[in-house]
Parts: sequence; C-alpha cells; structure tokens
Amino acid sequence: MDPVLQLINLEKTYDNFKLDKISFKLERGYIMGFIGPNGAGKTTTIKLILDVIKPDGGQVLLFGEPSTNAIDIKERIGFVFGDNAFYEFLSAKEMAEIIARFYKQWDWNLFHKYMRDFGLNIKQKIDSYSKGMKVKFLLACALSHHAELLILDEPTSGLDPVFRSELMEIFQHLIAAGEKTILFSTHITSDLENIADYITFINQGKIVFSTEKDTLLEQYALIKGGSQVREKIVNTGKIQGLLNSKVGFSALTNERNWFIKNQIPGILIERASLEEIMVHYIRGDKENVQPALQRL
Amino acid sequence: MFSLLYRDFKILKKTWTFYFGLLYFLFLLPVTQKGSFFTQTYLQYFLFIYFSYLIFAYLTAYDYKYNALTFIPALPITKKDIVAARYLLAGITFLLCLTLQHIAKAIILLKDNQAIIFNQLVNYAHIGMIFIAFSLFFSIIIPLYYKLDYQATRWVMYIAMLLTVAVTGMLTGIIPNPNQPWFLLTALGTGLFLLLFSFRFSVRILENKNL
Repeated sequence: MDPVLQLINLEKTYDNFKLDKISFKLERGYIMGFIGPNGAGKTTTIKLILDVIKPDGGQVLLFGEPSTNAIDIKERIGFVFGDNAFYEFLSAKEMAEIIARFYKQWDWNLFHKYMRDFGLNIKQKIDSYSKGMKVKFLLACALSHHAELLILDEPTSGLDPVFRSELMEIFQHLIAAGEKTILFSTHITSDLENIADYITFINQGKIVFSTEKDTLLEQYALIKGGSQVREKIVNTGKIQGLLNSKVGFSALTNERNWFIKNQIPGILIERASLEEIMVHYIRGDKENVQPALQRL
Repeated sequence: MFSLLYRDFKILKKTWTFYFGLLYFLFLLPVTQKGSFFTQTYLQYFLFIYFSYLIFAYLTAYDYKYNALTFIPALPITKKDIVAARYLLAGITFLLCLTLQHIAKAIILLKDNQAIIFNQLVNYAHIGMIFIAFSLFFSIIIPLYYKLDYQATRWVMYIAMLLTVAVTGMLTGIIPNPNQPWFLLTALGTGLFLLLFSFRFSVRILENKNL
C-alpha cells in the first residue's frame, strides 16, 4: 500500500531561505511529529504539501498521487493552521456553511457531534472563542468531511498546558481506530512525547532525521560530565551537539549503546527528550564538535 | 468556484456591504435626472466604477485581514477557480449596477409621465462605455492585487478608478454617434478580450505566488 504522504527531494527557494531536497514518508494510521525551531521550514513544507505554493523541485505524493491541482485528493485531507481561524467575524455556523460547500463528503451530523464533544457553541462568533476553542473549531471543520490525513501546523502554539493535553487526548482518540493519519507540526516537542509514532526533525531547511520515535529515543542519549572529560568525549566523534556550562558539559549522541558499552569514567548517560535532542542539534557548540567529526 | 461566490455573498451580507447598493441607487436618482454631459457621463461612470470598486475592495480587505489567500488554496479548489470566482463576482457586480441604473432611469421616466420604451431606456453608447471602463479597471486591478496584495494596491485602485473614468468619459465625447448596436458589440468584445487576457495573467501570478 502507498504511503499516505510522501515527499521526494522537495525544494523551495526564497530570498533568504531554502528548503533543501527534503524527503520523508508517512504510512497510514500513524502520527508523525514534524519538529524544528521557528523558521526551520515546517510551514513552507506544509504549504507545499497542500499545494498552496509551488515547489522549485521534487514532488509531493498524497495517497500515492501527485498533489498538484488534485482536488479529489484534497477532499481526503483536513488541515489546521494554528494561527488562522478563517473569517473570525462570522459565527462558527456561518463559517462551517462556507467550508461545507467545498467538500462533497461534508457531514453536518459529524460536525455537530464534534462541536458538542469539544464544548463549542455553534452560534458564537469565532472571534469570541479563546485560542484553544478556535483550534478545536478548526479541528471540527477538518474532521467533518471524513478526512483521512490531518495536517496540523502548530495547533498547540500559544495554548496553555491543560488545553494542550486535552488536544493530545483528542488526537490519540482519533488515531485509535487506525484509519486516520496525522502530520503534526510543532516546536513544542513535549506534546509529541506521548502521542507521536514518528518524528521528523527539520532544521534550516534540511531534514536532520525522520525516524520512529521509540528508535530515536533508544538511540539518542545525553552525555554529561565535568570539563576534564569534555575533550575526550568530543574526540570520540560520536557527538551531534555540545552545550557547555560553568561546571561541565552536556553532549548529544545518537550512539547511546556505544557509550554504555565503553563505560568512559566521569560521565553520566541519560535518556534524551525530544526537546533536548532538538536544542542540542540547534544550539550545540559546532566549533567543538565539527573538528572532532572531521577527524573521522 | 460557486463555493467561493457563496463565501463572498456571506461576507458581503454579514458586513452590510450590500447596503452600498442602496446608497448607489439613491445617488443615481438625482444624477440620472440631470441631463448635462458631465452628470450623464463622468458622474455615472464614476458611481458605477466606485460601487464595483467598493465590493471588490471590501472582499480583498477581508481576505488580507484573515489570511484567506493562504487557507483558501488549501481547500479542494484550484487556483484557477479562485481567480475565476473574483472575475465572476466582478461580472455579477456589473450586471447588478447596470440593473440599478436602468431601474433608476425607469423611475425618472415614470416620474416625468413618459412611457418606458426600449429606445429611451437602453443607451448602447452608455452601456458600451461603462463596460469598457469596468473591464479596463478590473483588468488592471485584479492581476495587480494578486501580484502585490491588498495593502500595496489599495491606493493604486483609487488612481486606476479615476483614470478609467476620465479615459472613458473622454472617449464618449470623441466617438461620433456611439449610440448604435455596433458600438455596444465592439465595446463588449474589447472588454471581454481585456478581461480574458487579464484573467489568464492573474491565474499565472497566483499559481506562482509564494503565499
């Protein structure tokens, strides 16, 4: 069976940014966390997937078919742009009436059910909703036409932890039946720790990795120690990012087992969270790591 | 495409923009009654284009404010349809304005105890000129809007509107005896050609635009 979503060497160049031949795929029934710092290229990638902008090279395949001008394929996709709740001066009902006309499969019963489940008043104006309620409304719209693929661009950005955890529960519930697939873009990586099956990390327009979350958390580790062992750790050539502090250092490796096996004295090996992986990759002291890598 | 027209209708209804139509009609009555060259040409053309402009400007302003040029293309619709809906709405506005103008004219005729006959009600020169003014205005404005966005084009819209009215007003004075069916047909042909050319240009702009 074809992957629900597949990106092949996708390219897009702006004046000050380049999305550089990115490739990854997402199989049916899974949640992929699409992580990266602000400006890494997440939204550009999502716009390319949704055919909002044209790529300079490469291809997006949705359900095995090219996404360009594919109206029937877009019928099977629901999207949530975290910073956009459509025309907010309209009531939720009025906005849904507009959206409904674009989808052949729009199901009013399902829409009303989601609005009830999410505790939203359909007659209320969208601009009187809180940020979290707007996201829920967008989600209700995205789900009410029986979308098979949900594309969520920073849906939790700016939401409080309680609302975020509620949304995570909704996503988990949606995925439970195995029919829906979710691409979840966020820079709040803690949201993904419990729900994502795959993680794709993008930085400066390049894919750093795209892999199973469990494998990722198995492979990666933080090596912590005092400054006296710092040089030795860097010289192993197995460090992806290094953060220095007054008392020592914290280094990211994707060869956790190697460090466990070799038992270097004076270091502490800890599991790395997604956030730690991201921070070490981005902020990690490249000046210290690169020479070590070059010696390999 | 009709989903987008429905959206436009909803926005216009919600924002009371439809009431501009009533205002336009109220302005038309005295303007139509006075028979000077100025009121029959410049002022009528100006009101016509200005009302059409207001509808277009309101909708594009809301699109800009709510980032609709990003989320609308994400829906199951092609960019060609998005552009086509804008041109179609302009066409509907044209027909609406023309109808209002003729209703105003019929009221004036009735008020002066004159019979409403075709030759008195329909002026080929007037319809032809207005169509040229209208198509010239939208042929310039719509591609510009897609190229530069609402913020950058709103002042250009005003200038284009005044220029269009001035040019067509002058044409009315220059062309000898334009109140003939051939003139209307020529005007319709020219206007439609301009709009078609502009439409294709707008589609190309939107398809290549980094939204």
